[in-house]
Amino acid sequence: MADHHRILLERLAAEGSHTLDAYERTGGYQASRKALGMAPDAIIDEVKRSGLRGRGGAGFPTGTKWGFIQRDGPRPTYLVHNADESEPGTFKDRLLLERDPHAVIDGMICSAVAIGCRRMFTYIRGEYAYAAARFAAATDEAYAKGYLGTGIFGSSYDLEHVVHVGAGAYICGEETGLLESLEGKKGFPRIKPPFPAVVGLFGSPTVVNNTETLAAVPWILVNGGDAYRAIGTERSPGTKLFSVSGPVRRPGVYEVDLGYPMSRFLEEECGGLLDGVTLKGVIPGGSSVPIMTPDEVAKANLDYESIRDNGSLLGSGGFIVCGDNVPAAEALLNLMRFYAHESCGQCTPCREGCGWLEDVADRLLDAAGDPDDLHLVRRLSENMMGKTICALADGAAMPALALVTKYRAEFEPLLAERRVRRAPARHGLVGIGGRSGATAARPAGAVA
Amino acid sequence: MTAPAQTPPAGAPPAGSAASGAPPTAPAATVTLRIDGVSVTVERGRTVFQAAEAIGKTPPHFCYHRDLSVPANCRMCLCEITGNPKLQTSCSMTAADGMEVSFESARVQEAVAGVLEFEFKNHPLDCPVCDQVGECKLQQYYMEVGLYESELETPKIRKDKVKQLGKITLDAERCVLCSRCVRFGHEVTGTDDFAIVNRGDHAEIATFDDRPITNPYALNYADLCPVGALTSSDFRFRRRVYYLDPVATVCPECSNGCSIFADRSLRQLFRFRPRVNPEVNRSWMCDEGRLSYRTWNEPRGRIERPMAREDGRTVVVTWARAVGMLVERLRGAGGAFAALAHPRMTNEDLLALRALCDALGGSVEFRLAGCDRLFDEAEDRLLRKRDKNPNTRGAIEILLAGDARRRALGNPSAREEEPGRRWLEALPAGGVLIVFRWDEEELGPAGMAAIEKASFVAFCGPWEPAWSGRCDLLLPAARTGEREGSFTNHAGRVQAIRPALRPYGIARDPWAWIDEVGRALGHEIGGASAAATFDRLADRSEGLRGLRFGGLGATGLWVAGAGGNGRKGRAPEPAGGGPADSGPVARAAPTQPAPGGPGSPTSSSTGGQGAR
Repeated sequence: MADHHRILLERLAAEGSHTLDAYERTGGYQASRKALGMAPDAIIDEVKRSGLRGRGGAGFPTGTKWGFIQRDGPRPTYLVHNADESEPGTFKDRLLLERDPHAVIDGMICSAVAIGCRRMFTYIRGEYAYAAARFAAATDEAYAKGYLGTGIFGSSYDLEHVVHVGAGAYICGEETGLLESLEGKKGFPRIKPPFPAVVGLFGSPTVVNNTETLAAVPWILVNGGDAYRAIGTERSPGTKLFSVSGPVRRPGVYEVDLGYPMSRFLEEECGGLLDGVTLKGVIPGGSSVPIMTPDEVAKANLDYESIRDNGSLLGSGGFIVCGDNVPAAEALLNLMRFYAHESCGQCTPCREGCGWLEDVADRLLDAAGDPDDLHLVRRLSENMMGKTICALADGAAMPALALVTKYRAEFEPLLAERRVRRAPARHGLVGIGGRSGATAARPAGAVA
Repeated sequence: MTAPAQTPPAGAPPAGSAASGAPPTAPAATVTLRIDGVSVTVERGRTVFQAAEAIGKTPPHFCYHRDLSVPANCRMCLCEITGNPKLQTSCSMTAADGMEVSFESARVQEAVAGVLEFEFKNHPLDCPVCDQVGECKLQQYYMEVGLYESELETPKIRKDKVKQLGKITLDAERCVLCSRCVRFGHEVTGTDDFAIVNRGDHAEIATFDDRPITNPYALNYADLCPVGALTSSDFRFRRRVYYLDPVATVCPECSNGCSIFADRSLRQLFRFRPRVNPEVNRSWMCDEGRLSYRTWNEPRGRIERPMAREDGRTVVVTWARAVGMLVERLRGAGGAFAALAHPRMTNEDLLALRALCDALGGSVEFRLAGCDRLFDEAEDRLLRKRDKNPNTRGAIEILLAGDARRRALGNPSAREEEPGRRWLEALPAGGVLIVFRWDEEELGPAGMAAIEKASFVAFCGPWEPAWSGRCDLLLPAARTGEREGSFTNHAGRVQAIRPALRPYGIARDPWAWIDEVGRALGHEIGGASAAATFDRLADRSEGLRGLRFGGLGATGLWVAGAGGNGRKGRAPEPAGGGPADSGPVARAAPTQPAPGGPGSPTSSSTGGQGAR
């Protein structure tokens, strides 16, 4: 097993790792103290130098994001900590929130100072009740110690922290959907531009950072951006958490130096697949990224560029291993059901497309597919991708497209003969009605 | 969620909002871009959508509305912009100099057809029983950019149908979730009637607890809705819209004078719809005005033909005889002639009347205490005005001059009360009195006393007054819906009205017989038409000086010194060819700043007109 750097998970093994005392014993809150003595631009430069990229999924350079903020404008600036970890297969932030909340708060303070924020927010998904309680308790501890509130660490800097628990909607993890939700509205993502860095929370310049991103900041400030950059690859520096699920011997959360070979990770860290199970594929970055075939897994390294070159995306690091005991059609239905349920319904292609894909997956699994269904999935996916305000539609379309393309052979036996020929309508509307009059058979209010 | 990195360009100003910090050098006021090879110049800050509209290529759209904010959620107005890897929604993309935009590329066409296909995924195919047919954007776009063969073989999601929400009927299945109604309630009326509930393809619009909509602008929801989800409970199933013939005119029910279409068919009116006029009503009108179309169809109480009292009996007479009687009396009266005008008369009537009075040395007044009856409390900051007369301002501009005019403009209550009463009391006995439209209740004791004193009383109006027994002559007037002319609204906007119906009986325009009377007495008064009368006499009024009827166009002109929000001396809109809402937009500016920015034709007219 490789000797990975321990930046994020170092303190987690200790008893009571979630307490302020434990965090301070390991040198905690030194980063915040240091940040308060630095010029904001110097903090941003240090993070830029580290090459840290957003760990929520998009991988946008963190320092660059902070640099967009206009600190001396007429409006206050805000830091929003996105702890709405809802991506299926992803449970890395939860570990940090529950076991090392002070590292996250430490990182938040550094970020807040860098962007001149006086009131920062944490948005935790509703299902994370335990994590939310732990994190709120950690916030209280920090307030009690004077690390939050008026004049933090004895300086003249005031910093408030509001912990807000969401009601459990996937879309509220999308940064602008989150901002809407935090403002008390329905979680409809906003059009960009303007980006949150210009018009964010309550119309003010806002940075939205993922939990893991913020947790990496204290180490960077204490050890220097160059030290962080020395880890990982040229374009994907540092370490990244991967939350591994599926039929492997040791599922769990792993911290890996980026650039580490994927197959080695699977074999050594994860302990290989369970007996009797062979690898069908890996979804490396949460359910929204395309699945990788064993061939692609063999070639890929765990970094943004290599995974992209091998047919997928690093995403959130939700590493879902699929064994040959999972039919591809079942995986397709499972995923599409999720996206159809979680689409906010704002943009047409996503609102209708996700449900349509679910319908198609449903009949494929029943081995009642239409001969054109694989083509239909491809066409619907293409009509969804890049056509919406946020990336949820892409997140549904990409895995659907990858599944039917890469596992086409598995789907073909599921295509039934066409039972009812459609009338050769010049305008399609004439032929609508579905097989065997299925439309009329449903009672009012039935869910398709 | 995994998102492809969307990189905010460093220092990019937010679209649609004022950039913080003024740029050191003022940028040019316009930008020039190319859309499908056509070069177009628009004001800086306009969107690509508005630029496309300015060259007559309105992109398909559901959510975009010229007087609402831009949510960019229907995804129908996609376009390809050179240098931008992803397709962009033109409604949310600010036009920039040198942009190369394509709406016609195969990639865009396929994408738009794809989005439209999604719209139909759960839309019921109940067009034969849907009242939106003919003005449904879904139908229109299917014919324009769809025309694919359906691959939909799954059951549709069922939602509530025919839900009565008071003045509006909701069909949730037909809704395309464009959110126009949600935005109208939030941004325009502030009543937040609708919200989108539930998620994904189960999302639907609803009022809280299914409560009926009570706001006085509720019927705008039926106009706004691009599909058959929100329809007017009043108009539903009364007439297919493609049988309707829209007449561009003005609502006469209050002094705001909203621009409207009066939709007629079978010689009757079926509905009013607002017509876009950025200077007056933007895209809206109130329900009170909208439902007043019913009174236009109502014959009860109308005067059908001229009547005179001869030898104590009331007899029907010809117009020639009626005019002859009046001429005879006026000739004999010397200068003892007075006319009581009414603020519901058109500018042309008032101009002709004033010219006649000036020629004969008579006096004219229009302000009566009884006028109060025509005022009620229904006024708000959006459109409705307390003064329910469409032409009070016109009467002030035409019948008053100098200090009296200034006082009347500055003090609305004075124009309702005292001057009229004093004028009535000062009328000499034994003269000729012509009363326009006033009924007994409004005239009050002072008015009735004046009538008693006069030796000859003529009445002119659409309806027979309660005091007709005391009239010597009863002259039927065509009412607003039956005539051409112009009104001046409270703010001084002069707008043309056009006939939607034929005059009742042999009713005529008052200016026409006034002109005949004048000519019989040797005075040139007006002209052969409302337009000619306006053009000939307008210069006699301080406010109307320089205006010509032909210049009023579709959206009207300001009287001298007026102009909404103090924009005095604003260049008038070019004479309108066709309805206001199909004109180019690049020049239009809203009276009140709309969150979404000004700019495009409203949806409400395209269907009805295009279908015919």
